[in-house]
Amino acid sequence: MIVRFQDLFLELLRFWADRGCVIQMPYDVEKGAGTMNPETFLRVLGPQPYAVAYVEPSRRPADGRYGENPNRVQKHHQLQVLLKPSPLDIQLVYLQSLERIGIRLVEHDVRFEEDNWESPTLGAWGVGWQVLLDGLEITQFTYFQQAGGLDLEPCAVEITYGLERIAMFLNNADSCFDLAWSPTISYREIRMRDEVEFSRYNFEEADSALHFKWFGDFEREAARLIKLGLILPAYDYCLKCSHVFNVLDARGAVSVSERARLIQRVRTLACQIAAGYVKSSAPPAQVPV
Amino acid sequence: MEVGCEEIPARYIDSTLLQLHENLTKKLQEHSLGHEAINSYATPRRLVLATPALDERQADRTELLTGPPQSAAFDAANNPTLAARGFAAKHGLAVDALKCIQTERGIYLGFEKRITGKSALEVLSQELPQVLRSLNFPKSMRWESTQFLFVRPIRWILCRLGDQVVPFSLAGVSTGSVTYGHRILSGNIEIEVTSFESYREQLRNHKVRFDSKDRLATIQSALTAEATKVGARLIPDPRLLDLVVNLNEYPSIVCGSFSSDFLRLPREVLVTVMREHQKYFSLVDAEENLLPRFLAVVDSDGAHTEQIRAGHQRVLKARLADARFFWDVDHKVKLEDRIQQLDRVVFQQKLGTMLEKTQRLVSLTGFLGKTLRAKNLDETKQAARLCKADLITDMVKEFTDLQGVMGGLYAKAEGLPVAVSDAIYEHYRPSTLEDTSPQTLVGAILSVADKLDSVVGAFGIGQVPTGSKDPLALRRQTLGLIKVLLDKRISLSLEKIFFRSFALFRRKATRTREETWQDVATFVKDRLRFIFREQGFRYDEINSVVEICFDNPYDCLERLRAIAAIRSGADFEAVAQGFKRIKNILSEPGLEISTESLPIDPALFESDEERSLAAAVQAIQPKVRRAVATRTYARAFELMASLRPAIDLFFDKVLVMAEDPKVRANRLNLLRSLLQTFLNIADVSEIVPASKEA
Repeated sequence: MIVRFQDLFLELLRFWADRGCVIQMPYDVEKGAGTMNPETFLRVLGPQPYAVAYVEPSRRPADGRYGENPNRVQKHHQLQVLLKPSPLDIQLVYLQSLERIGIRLVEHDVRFEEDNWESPTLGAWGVGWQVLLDGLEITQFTYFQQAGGLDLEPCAVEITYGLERIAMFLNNADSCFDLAWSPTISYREIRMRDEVEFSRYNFEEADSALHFKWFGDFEREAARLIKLGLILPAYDYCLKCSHVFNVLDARGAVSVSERARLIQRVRTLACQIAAGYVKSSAPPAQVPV
Repeated sequence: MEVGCEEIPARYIDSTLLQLHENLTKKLQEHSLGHEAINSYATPRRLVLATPALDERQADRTELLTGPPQSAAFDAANNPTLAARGFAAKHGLAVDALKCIQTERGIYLGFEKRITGKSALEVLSQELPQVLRSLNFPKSMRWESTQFLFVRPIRWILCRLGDQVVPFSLAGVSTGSVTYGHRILSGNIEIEVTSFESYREQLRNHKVRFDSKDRLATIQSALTAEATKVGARLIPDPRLLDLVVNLNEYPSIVCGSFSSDFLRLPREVLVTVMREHQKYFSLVDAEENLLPRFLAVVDSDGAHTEQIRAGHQRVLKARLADARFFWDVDHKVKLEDRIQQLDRVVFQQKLGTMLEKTQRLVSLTGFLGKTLRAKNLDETKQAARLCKADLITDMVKEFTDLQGVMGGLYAKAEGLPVAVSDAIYEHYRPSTLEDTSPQTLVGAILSVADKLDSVVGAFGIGQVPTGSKDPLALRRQTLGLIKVLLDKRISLSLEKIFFRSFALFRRKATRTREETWQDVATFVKDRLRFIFREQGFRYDEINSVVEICFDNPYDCLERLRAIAAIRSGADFEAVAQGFKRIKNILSEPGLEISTESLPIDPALFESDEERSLAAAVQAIQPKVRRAVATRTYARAFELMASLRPAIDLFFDKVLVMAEDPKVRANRLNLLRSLLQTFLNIADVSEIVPASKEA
């Protein structure tokens, strides 16, 4: 049986839509992971319940291999589910989602192994597992504890499916490029050029001086917007800083001391944005009559 | 009680069970509830405590309650006063029911109150939540509205005493009689439990083996059986075994294979990839050659082995392909050409980069090499210069555990001298007290320098390990450093190499050299005591040498061996007692000062006993000095023991604190001289005679 890449995420989105999730779009700013989409990073803040699922193309410039490695790519696809508060039976529901895409769990070795997630640039961390299916990591399962340096209450649970990995597993494929994206087009046809060109750009051609300048410009713009209370636009520029940093890092343009400083600068923005978001979305204080 | 959780990290489980057991035992003792053995069990999804029998209730007891003193309890007409009536009313009694009771403070009005013991059910429902609350985890989390902190979410609590549920609730979960079967193999089936027997049996039926000892036994025998089946032998890996036991509820073994093309990779790499990434066991043939096979412990009932095997094989293949890619790519750049890039790798934020560390190591190994009169100084320095270069390789970036090992393998492949590649290979050793020290002297020097540099640097900026905080693993590194010195019989002064190492940190250190050395010295003494204890020496033996000669650990060990060997003899402990007596006398306030500079004057001796002791001491002093100079400590202690008759007689017949101050001072000086003859070898007054030990 061939499981097409697009059917995989359509099926999973349908599954979560049936369980009350808002189905969202990917966010249109480059980012390293689905967590950075404001639908997760900002929605986990504050008391309002929320449930959302979306596919997020995630860019990791340093992971590029010019399309020559069957498992590593500079852009992969995460299917992200965020549930706040976390349901009591969330592990079971998650396992049902695997059954839904055709994995007969009793025939496999399924394990939840400790893997705690941390994002220094977002001032965020959580506790959870990587889910292993016959030894293959297919999902990151995290109970968020902090984001933007703020304690979260209620706690949200985040489920991140690695779509390429799961599709390869379902199709017994040794290379993600061999996957069928749709009935007529392969993953290779859609993505290969992307991998080759961006690998070359990130490793060889990215203009470091220009990126350093951008980093400073985006940072200033974000800081200015935070002061104006324009939190969502400010977050866009914070994300841009993060991506520019990742390109510089892949390019090998960042020295040790610089590295820690740049991460700290993005984190400062993220924390201010989180604080600003919570403040501006708090319900107005009750005025006694 | 069974606490049902989402998967608890394997590495926390054993310590959690220990704490549970300890906490509950303590609570039951506090409440005077007798019980049979408490057994504890665990899987990733459950923590279980059970006891076959527990007292139904606490025994009733009486407590003496007293009110006003008799004098204030009755008036002149012998009628109860307001105070007496008030006390009686407070306890719901008539004054007639009170008695006059003799206490330590006098006679008081009072009564014996009978207190009914609480039922075990009541005690448990009150204390079990406390037992769970007080567990410590390296990392905890919150997940629900009461903000309870625990290792992972609690989803159910089964808690029964006899045929009753022990009522309590915690983290929004109320106790009940229900557990669940294997989440996948039995569809997480809900099970009603009526007794421990029914719990045991139903879980077995629903594919949960809740006792880790049972899982361990199954896994061990299945691993051996699978290995035998393919004519192979398992490479033992106890740490991995401890881990995988707590990664499943229903273990079985899958034997997989990989393409023999990958066997061109070094064995270290293959085994590491299998162990670190996939938690697989490796196999060897009768000639100890690695086989292209692995054993995986899986959570499965063994019914779909083919499919599971295929999955694991595919994952391993991708991992090995990565490793092969790293191996091939890494060879393209020489270690020498990687050194400069070490300026991108942080050693420690305040201590700078690995490049700086490398430069210090070259200098420090040169110094150590000269101190120890090592022959191959050039090779030592070359090894130091190259030893961190593998941190830049892709292989080590992916498998940090292979640091050093990869450097050694790459150095060998480059055709560098064997002394250099071996030293690099082994310079992180020993990683534990069980691990072996580097084989060669060059390796040992590099290993010592590497660890010394970390310890001195960290202490120099005030990063002294406290409690569980030891990010640079300084305890382990110090143990490793000492172990190398002992194993390789390297005799040197720690203070001397410390000063050299400290000087290399120049402007980086934020504390003075003396402050830093004080802390390092204390730290070293603690590790040294620990190692000696592990080697089986006794506390008093260790106490007698560590303060005196910790600066040279190997020398310290030789003295310790000599003491341990001689203490069983007839005279040694008696002499040690004599020394203790002398030390006590000399530590009387004021004595030391008044006798400080007075020489021994034979004319002031009054009795033969003191003359003969003085003669004996004088006679052995040069011999002792010679024994110390040649480090024949056994001989030195024999000489000490030979003084027994003289010392015994002295204490028998001579009054040290004589009336005449001159005579007294002279005697004290004799004792001081005796003490000082041996005090720079060992402080034997610390020795506790066997007869006095508990």
